[in-house]
Amino acid sequence: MKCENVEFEYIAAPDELSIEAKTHIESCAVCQRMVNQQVHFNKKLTDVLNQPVPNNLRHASREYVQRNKVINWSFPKASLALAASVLLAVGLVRVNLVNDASGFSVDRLVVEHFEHDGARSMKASHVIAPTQLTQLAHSFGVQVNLANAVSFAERCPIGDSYGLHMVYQFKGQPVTVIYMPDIQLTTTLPFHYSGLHGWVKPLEKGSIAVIADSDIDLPSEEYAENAVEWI
Amino acid sequence: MGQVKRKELDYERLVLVYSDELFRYSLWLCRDKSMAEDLVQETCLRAWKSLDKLKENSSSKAWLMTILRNEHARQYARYRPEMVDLDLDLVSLKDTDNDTSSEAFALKMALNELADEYKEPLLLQVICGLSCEEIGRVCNITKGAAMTRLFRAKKKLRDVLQAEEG
Repeated sequence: MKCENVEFEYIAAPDELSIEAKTHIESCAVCQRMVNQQVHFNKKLTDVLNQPVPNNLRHASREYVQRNKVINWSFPKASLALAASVLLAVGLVRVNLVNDASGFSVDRLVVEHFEHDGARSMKASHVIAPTQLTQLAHSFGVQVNLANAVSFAERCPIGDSYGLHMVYQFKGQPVTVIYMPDIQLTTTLPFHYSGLHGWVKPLEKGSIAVIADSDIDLPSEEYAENAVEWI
Repeated sequence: MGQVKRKELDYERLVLVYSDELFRYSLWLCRDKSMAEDLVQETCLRAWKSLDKLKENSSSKAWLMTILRNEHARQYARYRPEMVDLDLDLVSLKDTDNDTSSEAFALKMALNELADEYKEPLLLQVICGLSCEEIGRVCNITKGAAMTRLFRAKKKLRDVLQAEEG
């Protein structure tokens, strides 16, 4: 294979190289130099093209479709309980999308979270021991003020950091609350997704997400401010 | 699971996964953030209405980008002449925090000057991750033509970058 053909293939579609081109590059110093230059260029081009995405893009798009679609979506009446942890991920991850320094596609993270996790946190039917909750909360530098109504609490990975994930019984229904000390927001971000609704609210340190089935009432935002208290 | 519910979940998943790519592609087509958001919303609505036409999950990204591209051509192309003077403001350094170097600025200027027939394949590849085969389908050209346009577009941009560096 000639160098000019390899150059054409590599510049046009570096991820779709033929076996012949790959083999040629391995043994050709000229083409290896070309590849090195092109790697630098591709990185620069990708950085320039990948502009930040607005926080509320999905929410706004969803609302727009809701307002304009012909067919009505009927959200499930039954509780989407198993989602509660997952649910949270939607709002959460969306925020994380913007802030996550890993460069990971958080969209994919959410979907994977949806498919592989979720039900476990909602299975607990009894209130966890106050000492257990206190111990866990202290590891985040906070005290949780949810008056003996937390049925699940765990440290869980959120993007590049960790969050305090709790399931809270609000008006007899499970609501997921996640405190994320390392995820910053400037304004409260509401979301409504596949029968789930909630919001992520900025706090003095980090943010807090509340999420539940769309049929379930959510606590007020003021509640969230009082849910955690820094030690 | 009911048909409507199934459709709803398929749609939500699709849009959830690809909305970032939709927005970025839209932004470089429109060169305006609010227009780009409007275009994404309209694309989502059209995707919802014609979701039944999507047969294979593997082609879903290309399918969405095709809808966006067509919608852009239909709704926004006629406004472009009025936007020419605004290009650099609308996708300018002040609107981005991902790269503020002089090289990046030169690249943005060169991108804005690229003819659509070269720019679109480039956006579809770099932002959306489409293969040359898929780019060909979206742009109604052959795979070979897509490769040629990508090659020329990148060569031109690379020359700009090298001049800036040199």
